[in-house]
Amino acid sequence: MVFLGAPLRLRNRLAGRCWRIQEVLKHARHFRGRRNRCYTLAVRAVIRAFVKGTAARRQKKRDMRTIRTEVALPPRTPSVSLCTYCEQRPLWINRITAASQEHGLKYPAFIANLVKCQVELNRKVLADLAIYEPKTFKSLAALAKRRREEGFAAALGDGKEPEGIFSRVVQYH
Amino acid sequence: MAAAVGASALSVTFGRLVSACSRSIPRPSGPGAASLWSVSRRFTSQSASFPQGYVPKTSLSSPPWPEIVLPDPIEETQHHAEVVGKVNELIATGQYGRLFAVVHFASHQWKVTSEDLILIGNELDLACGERIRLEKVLLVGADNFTLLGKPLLGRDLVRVEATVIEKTESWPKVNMKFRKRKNFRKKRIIVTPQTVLRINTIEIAPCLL
Repeated sequence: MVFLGAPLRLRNRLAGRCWRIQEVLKHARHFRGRRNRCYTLAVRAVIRAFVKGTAARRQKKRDMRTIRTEVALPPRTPSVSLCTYCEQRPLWINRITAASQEHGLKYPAFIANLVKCQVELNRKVLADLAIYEPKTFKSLAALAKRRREEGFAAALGDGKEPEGIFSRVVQYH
Repeated sequence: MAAAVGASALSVTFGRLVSACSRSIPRPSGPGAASLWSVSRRFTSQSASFPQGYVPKTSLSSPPWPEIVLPDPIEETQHHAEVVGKVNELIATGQYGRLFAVVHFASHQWKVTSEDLILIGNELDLACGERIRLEKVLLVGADNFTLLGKPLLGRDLVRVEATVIEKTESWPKVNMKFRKRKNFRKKRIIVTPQTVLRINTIEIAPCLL
């Protein structure tokens, strides 16, 4: 049926306003204060949360590798901070440094000599081995140490001494 | 890539035995001892001739690292051959417990044992339940020995098998861009495909030469 003459007061209004508001509020339910209840405050907080989430996803990959300097600073306000993120991010480089120091090697020496021995393990796996496979990590440290000493001997020897055993490189073609 | 050359391509350690590197003979250390040493030499020897290549001890006369004496190469090669033989025997007789391996797969390196689950962030074009062999193995270890590849271990040495268990999508991640006071707001929901693999077995063969 087509109504040709509708009164001016008969107007169509938004039907799904409730659902649109709930879509935003559901992402804000765990926020503090009125931001988890009131839509106007929640919208701002939710947008900031999403933007920080996208930035954090990229920063997380950097953090997993090594420490971020902002974390080390003490908190400015003495009151309880709003953010509750855990500060114990796994830091691969720091862990490898600690483990290699236990075996008497520094991190740059360890990594450089492992690469020279054609052992292409990345820092994630090296940190896992340092934690869960101590014997394997000890043998890797010994390999790096021996390759380093052969490097020193080659640098001083001017080619008169025989070449080192662990300095041999496998050629692939 | 196969470890083409035999014993030299694999770096092997046995038990807690670590490749020995003997320390140098301890020299008289300390500035007092050095001057005493040189003084006594000067006073005892009649002629003031120094051996050829003698450099008086200064801060730059010797390198800053301690002097290194590497072990005899022939003895070392023998020792290495012994160790490789022992490890080969262990593998042949099956005297190892649980094996772990480091596998390069889907542009990531995974430290893996049997009955392990792996979550891969892309689609593999495989049906659920298909059995796969993971070929790029960088490291295999047991309780008493580890085999390191340079950089990969041979295909006839290790065999890592896995099954595709699940093919799902990730949880919807929100990608939002916002610039204040510029009326700039963009929101995008990203859902990436994921595959779950179960590592069934890791097997090694006694072909270490």
